[in-house]
Formats: sequence, C-alpha cells, structure tokens
Amino acid sequence: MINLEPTIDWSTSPGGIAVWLTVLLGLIFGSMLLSADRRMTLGRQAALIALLAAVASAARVLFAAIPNVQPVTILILLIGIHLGPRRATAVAVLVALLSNMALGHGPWTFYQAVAWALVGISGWILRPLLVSKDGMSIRVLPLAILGFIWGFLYDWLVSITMLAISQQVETYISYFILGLPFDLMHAVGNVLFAIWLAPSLHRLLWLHSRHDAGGWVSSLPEDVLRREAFISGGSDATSRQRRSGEDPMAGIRRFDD
Amino acid sequence: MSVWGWQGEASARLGPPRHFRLPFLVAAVVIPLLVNDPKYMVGWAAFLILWSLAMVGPNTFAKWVKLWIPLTIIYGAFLYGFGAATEPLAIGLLISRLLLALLGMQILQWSVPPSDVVSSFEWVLPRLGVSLAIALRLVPRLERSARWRLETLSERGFDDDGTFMQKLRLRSSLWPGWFADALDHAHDLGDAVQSRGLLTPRKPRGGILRASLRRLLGEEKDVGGEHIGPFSDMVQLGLDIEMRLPDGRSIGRHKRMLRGGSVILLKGPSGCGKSSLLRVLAGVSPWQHPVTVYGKAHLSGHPVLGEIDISAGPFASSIACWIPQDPDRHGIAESVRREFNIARRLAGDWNQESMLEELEAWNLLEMLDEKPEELSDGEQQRLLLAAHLDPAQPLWLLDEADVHLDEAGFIQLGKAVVKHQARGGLVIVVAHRHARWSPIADEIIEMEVGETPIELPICEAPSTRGEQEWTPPEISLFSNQVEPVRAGDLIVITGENGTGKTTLLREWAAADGIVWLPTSPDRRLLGMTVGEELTLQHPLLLQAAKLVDGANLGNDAGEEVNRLQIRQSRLRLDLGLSRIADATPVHDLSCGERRRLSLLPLLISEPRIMLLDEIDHALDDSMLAELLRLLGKARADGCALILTSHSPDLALWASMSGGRRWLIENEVLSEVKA
Repeated sequence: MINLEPTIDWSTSPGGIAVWLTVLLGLIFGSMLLSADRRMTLGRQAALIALLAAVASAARVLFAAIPNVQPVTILILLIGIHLGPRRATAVAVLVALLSNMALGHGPWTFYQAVAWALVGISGWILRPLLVSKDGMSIRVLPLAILGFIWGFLYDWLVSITMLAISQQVETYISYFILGLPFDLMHAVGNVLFAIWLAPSLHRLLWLHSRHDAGGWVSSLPEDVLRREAFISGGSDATSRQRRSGEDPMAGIRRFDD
Repeated sequence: MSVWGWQGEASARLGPPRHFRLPFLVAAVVIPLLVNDPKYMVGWAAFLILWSLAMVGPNTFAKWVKLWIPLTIIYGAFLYGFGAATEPLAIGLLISRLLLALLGMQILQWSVPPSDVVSSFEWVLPRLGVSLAIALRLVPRLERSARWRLETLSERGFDDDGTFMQKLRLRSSLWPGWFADALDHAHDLGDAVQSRGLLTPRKPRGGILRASLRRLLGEEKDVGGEHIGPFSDMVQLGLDIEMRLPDGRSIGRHKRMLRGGSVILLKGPSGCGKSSLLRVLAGVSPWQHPVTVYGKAHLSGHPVLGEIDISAGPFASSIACWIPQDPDRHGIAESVRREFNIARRLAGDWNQESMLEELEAWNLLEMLDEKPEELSDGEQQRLLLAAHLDPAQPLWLLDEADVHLDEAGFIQLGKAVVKHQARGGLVIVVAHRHARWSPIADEIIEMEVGETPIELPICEAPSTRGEQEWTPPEISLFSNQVEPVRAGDLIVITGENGTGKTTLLREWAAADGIVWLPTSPDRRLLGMTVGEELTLQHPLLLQAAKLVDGANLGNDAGEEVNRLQIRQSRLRLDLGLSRIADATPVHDLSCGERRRLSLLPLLISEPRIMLLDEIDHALDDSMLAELLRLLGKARADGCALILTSHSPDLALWASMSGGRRWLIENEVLSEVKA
C-alpha cells in the first residue's frame, strides 16, 4: 500500500496549499490562454492585444523608478471591461513576459500574469458597475475604488511566490507585513492612474471597437440595383432611339413619368 | 536604438548559443544568489561586464548602467527605510546580487532575437506568438513615436516658455495622441498579418512522419509550395461589388471581370476607394475595417485554394499578395534576414540561393543584418517588395508600391511585375504618379470618370536672387559642394535609395533649427482628433483654446491669435481640409489628408527656409497642384524651399520653375548645373 498520509499532510500545510493553488490557477489560466488563442481569427485582434501589452509594458518600465507604482493594473482592468476575460488574460501574459524582459524574470512572472488575469476578469464581471448604461463613458469613482482594492489583492497574490518557494508561512507573513507600504503605493497609484488615464483610454478602445462595424452582404443594395436598371434601360433605349433617330432623352423622361 | 531590446545580428552571434539559453538564464539568476564570497562575486561581475561590452559596445552598456544604478539606489533606500535590511553592507550585497541577475538576463535580452522567442510559441499558442511578435515590433515604435512628439513640440516653440510643471503637464496630456498613433500602427500590422496568412498555425509540410523520414534519410528540405511555373488559364477575378462607409457613402462600385496575364492600373483622386478595393481583394476588409461590402467577388485559378469566394472570409491563409502603402508600418520582423524568413514561413522555405539572388537584385545584400527601422523609406520599400512579392500568389495588389523607389528600384519592380504577368498572374496597381506604370499596364481603370489631367502649376522664379539665407552645414555623412541657399530658392535634392536624403534633412534641421517635414505625417502629428491637432499647432493657439469664457490673452497676444486663426482657416481651405470635422480622429483621415494636416503648422509659422521630404507622397494630382501653388506663394514671399523627391515629374516642375538641383552621389552633395 502506498502511504498517502505525508502527502495529505503536506497538501494541507500553507506551503502545500500554495503549490496546489498555483497548479489550479495555472490550469485555469492555461485553458483561458488556449481559448483566447483559438478564438483569434483576425490580424487586428492579435495586433490590439499586442499593442495593449506593449503600451502596458512600456508604461511599467517607465514608472519603474517609483516602487510599485505602475499603470498596468488599471490598463488591464479597462481591457477586461472592453475586451473580455480571455483577451485580458492574453494581455496579462504578454505584459508579464515583455516587461520582465527589462525588469527581471523569475518565479514571480507566473504569479504576476495570473494576478493581472484575475484583475481583467474582475473588470469583465463588474462591467455594469464601471461603465455608464449606454456604454459611452467610464465611471471613474467605482473604477478607482476597484483599482485601490486590487492594489493590495494583486500584491498579496504575487507574494504567494514566497510561500511556494520557502514553504514557510512565517516567511510569507513577514514578507506580507514588510510589503504593506509598497501595497499602499500600488493602490494609491492605481487611483491616480484611474483618474488620469481611464476616460481617454475608454475612448481609444471605443475607437478600435468601431472597426468591428464592417461586414459583407451578399446582395447589392436596392438603390444600386434600381439605378443600374435605370441606366441600362436608359442606355438601351438611347441606343435604339439613336439608331431610329428618336429623342435620346426619351428614356429619362419615361422614368420621370 | 532601445537599450532594452535585441541589439542586432552581431549581438545574436555573440550571445549564448541557442540551446544554452535556458541553462544560462537559470545560471544568471542562481549564481548571484549562491555566491557569498565577494571574490567570486567580483569575478562573475567582471565576466558579465566584459561579455556585455563585447556584445553591445560601451555606449549601450553605459545607458543600461545609467538607468539601473539610480534605480537600485532608490530600491536600496526603500529597503533601508522600511527596515527590510538595516546593515548597509547587507543592502549593498542585496543590490549587487540584483544587478548581476539583471545584467545576466539583459545579456539574453540583447542577444535573443524576438523571432526566436515567438517561434517557441508556434506549436502551442501560435496566434499569441504572433501577438508577441507584433508587441516586440511596437515597443521600439512607441519609444520613437514619443521622441517625435517631443521633437514636434520643440519645433513648434512649446519648449520656449512656461514653467517645468506646465511643460510636464503638456507632455503628459499628449498620451492619447501617442496611443492613437500606436493603435493605427498596430492596425496596419494586423492587416499585414491577416493578408499574409500568418495566423495559420504552423504545420510540418507533408506531415510529421514524412518530415522525420526525410530528415532520417538526409533529404533536402522540401521547397514545395513556392509555385514557380506558369499559372493555369483559369486565373480570373470576378467583381460585382459596392463598397460603402458606415455613413452610407459609396466608395466604389465595381462590376467587371479581370483575367490573369494582365496588369491593371487603377487611377482616381484621393478618397475614391482605390486602396479600399485592394484591401477587400486581399481579404483584409471588411472584417477589419468599418466598411460594408455588398455583392460578390470571386477569385479563381488559385494554385492551392482553387476557387475563392472572397465574401466567405476572413481567411486563415493568404489569398493574394498585397503590398500596402507605407512600408515602415507593415514589416513584422526585427531584421532584413528575418523578414525574409517570416515571408516564406507559409509559402515554403527560402532556398538559400534564391534568397540571395533576390537580395542582390533588390540591392539589399549588404543590409542583411540591418534592422528595418534603421533603413530609409526607399530601402524599406525594397525590403517589403523583395520579401513579400510572393510568386505563388496569382493575384498581386500593389498600393503605391513605387512611391519611395528610385529608377533602379522601379525597374526591378517592373521586371517582377512583367514576369508575373507572363506567368499568367493578375497584377492590380494603384498609383498617383502613373507615368511610370502606363507603358506596362494592359488596362487603365478610371475610378472617377471625367477626371481631367492636371498640370502642375509652374511657380514664377523671383526676378532677382534674394539675400543669402543659409549655408548648409557639413555633416559627417557627406561633403558639401553646393552654393549657399538664398531667399526664394527652390532646390530639389535627388539621389538613389539609401544615399541619405532624409538623414541630410534631419541633420540640417537639428543643426540649425530649421523646420522640416518628414515623409511620414505621423511624425509631426500630436493630437488625437483634428480639433486637438489644430490647437497644438502653435503655443498661442493652445493658450487661446484653454481660456475660459470671457478671459483674454491681452491685446497683442489676442491680435496675434486672431491672425494665426485666420491664417490657419485659410490654409485649411486651400489644402482641402476645411470640410473635416474637428471631432474626427486624426487616424481616420487618409494618408494624404494627414500629410496636409502635418504641413499646416509649417505654413502657419511662415519660416524663411522649409525642408520637405518627398512632398508628393500620397497626394493626388489635383492636391499636389494645389500644394505646389501654395509653396510657390511662400517662395514668392521669400521662403527658400528644399525638397527631396524621386518623382521625375516633380524634378521637371522644379526645373521649369527656375529651381536648382542638388545630387547626392558617392557621399558628396553637389550642385547640378542646368
């Protein structure tokens, strides 16, 4: 018989919980990524995700001088609101990959991507609270409050890195307490970015969404068919009349009558 | 060049070998954590620093250091302040470890080409891999776009007055325009990805088993897929479509049958729907554009896809070879070599020999390791044509593909087109300067019937030469053998692609503070909407726009604002921009309209000298004539005009208008005597 008791004990310890939570989050996260990838059929969808990831990464690097103040959380919240959870997840992964190319990769990259994906999902779920009824404007106050909350939640989620690595709850708690001032900075930064960026970014994402307005209708519009029928009728009549020496404008008069 | 990104093919060769990248990444992170002895730490640091210097040179390394040292000091101060570590030595050790790990990762970042990162996504998340490729292409563009905006602000005089905070506020308020420009560039890259079929997941040609067997037997790679024989007689394009904008305005009704083995030239004024038609035929519109297409369009005789109902799109694979306008916005890869690899990823691998032949024919062989953004517009156009003129596609759609090409480049393009035509392919060309194309076109389609040919207006040369205004400074690339510029001079600079015409204008502008207009209008546009752009064209106009009701700027400034506003309105009317609503997003305008909008602040400021790069780009004949009339007026008022162009029409116009010609050849800028 295999003795599962040590495994069960470990899996109920804080370190064990951190590991299986990571695996679970990874599975959800992976399936969402696969789904986002499969649903991408247009080049512009790929390009929009790319642009948002590039802008968010550049902004994160730009604000690297101010510890834990960066606009990525608010950006991904807005992406979740506009483009849905799958694409927000895709952007989250790309931002973590791209920005950490400059700021340093490590085990935290995975947790950052997962935490930002959750930020995007929350934006999608809370969309009715965050956008006006006609969808034309963003409600800055609820967005700022949500951003403030995520400032803390995001950092606590990323701190699971320490728990998963050290397998000691004490390390996690000391890391958690030491990080509180940084978490506060993230939260306050999110509020400021919500006020500064959200209205214009909402408008810019709306600009992109107008591009979905195109389509293909297999039949020609009624007015085109009518006009061409008239022209061809008119030209037939005109050529007949020319041959017989009649008034070439007779076809047009016929239509007017 | 960005300090963060890939630093080119030379760095790639000096970086960790392909299969050792992952172990190196682990070592770069782990070694600084494990080593406690300062002696070994210094050794590891010296090794990384020497490697970095050899790879990227002292300048890039110094930039990296300049950024990270202050940042790590700030982090150290925070750690100390919040009590994470109390001993200065411990903090120093922590920071050293952090810096060493970062430098190790940066070595990878400098040496690993983005397309290698992207290819690691290919089998599992291929479309996200394409997203990543686009993102990596956009990051340097974002940086450049921000720099252009700052240059434009400075050129328009926004840096002259105001406190530091006012300047900061102005700069930070420009981000929506910056984002909108990036969004537009991303859309263009999205169109390129769609038309080239890059979203199709990669499949081993002939199946995994066959590929493995072939490898085991040591056979050559299959170059199938690249159709090199003639097409069947069945290549036909049947059109019965009407295209409409969301407001219901028609931008083209096409009812005709076009057969393979012919070259069709589309003519018509700006905005008549030429480019829109090509986008529909390339399978990009209407799925990616706010255009509604009514009717049917069929392409038959495709060697792989057979009969294609274009309305059944969007297509995962490429259905036609589309070369769009603006080559700097449609390249995906990070180097010339890799653009070729991407171009042939789906159509069949490049045979090394044919790739080299193609590169040589297009005069790109020496630029194999260059980054596309560092090439001139003409060279980028050559690259796009060399890499993406796909002989396997029966339908070629060329949208102003010759604008940036010199004569040698156009001859090369003409040869390729005639060869394709002889193989039974169908080529549709859009061009504003159609004199080049008329001799090889089998049919010319007028998009707006009744358009009368327009003569370029000859502008009268001043009867006496004006005062000496400016002597062109020597720059490192060229030696000058030209006479000084005088008031009212008209000078056209000519030279082959890549000789440095644009560089020359840029350097002169920077050296002597002269206003210049680059070919791409996006380098000189700041606002997100036309209204914002108009207010950002002069500091006083911006101040006036910020005033609340009832306030005024004072008598003198108020009068100056009135004068500027009147001049701006008159120029808008002359340039055909007065009908555009202020709320229109700048990037909804056509390339020609954006070009004219970017010229407006130059004309408003009434400079003594103007440097204009390829002024005829994206303008139809009537608009070019109007623009030349305006420039003639500025010249009559004493403004000296210095233009670059590849167009024989414009060179002829300049010589008939009493202009001078300068030629760049063999790194010498010389006066051409009439």
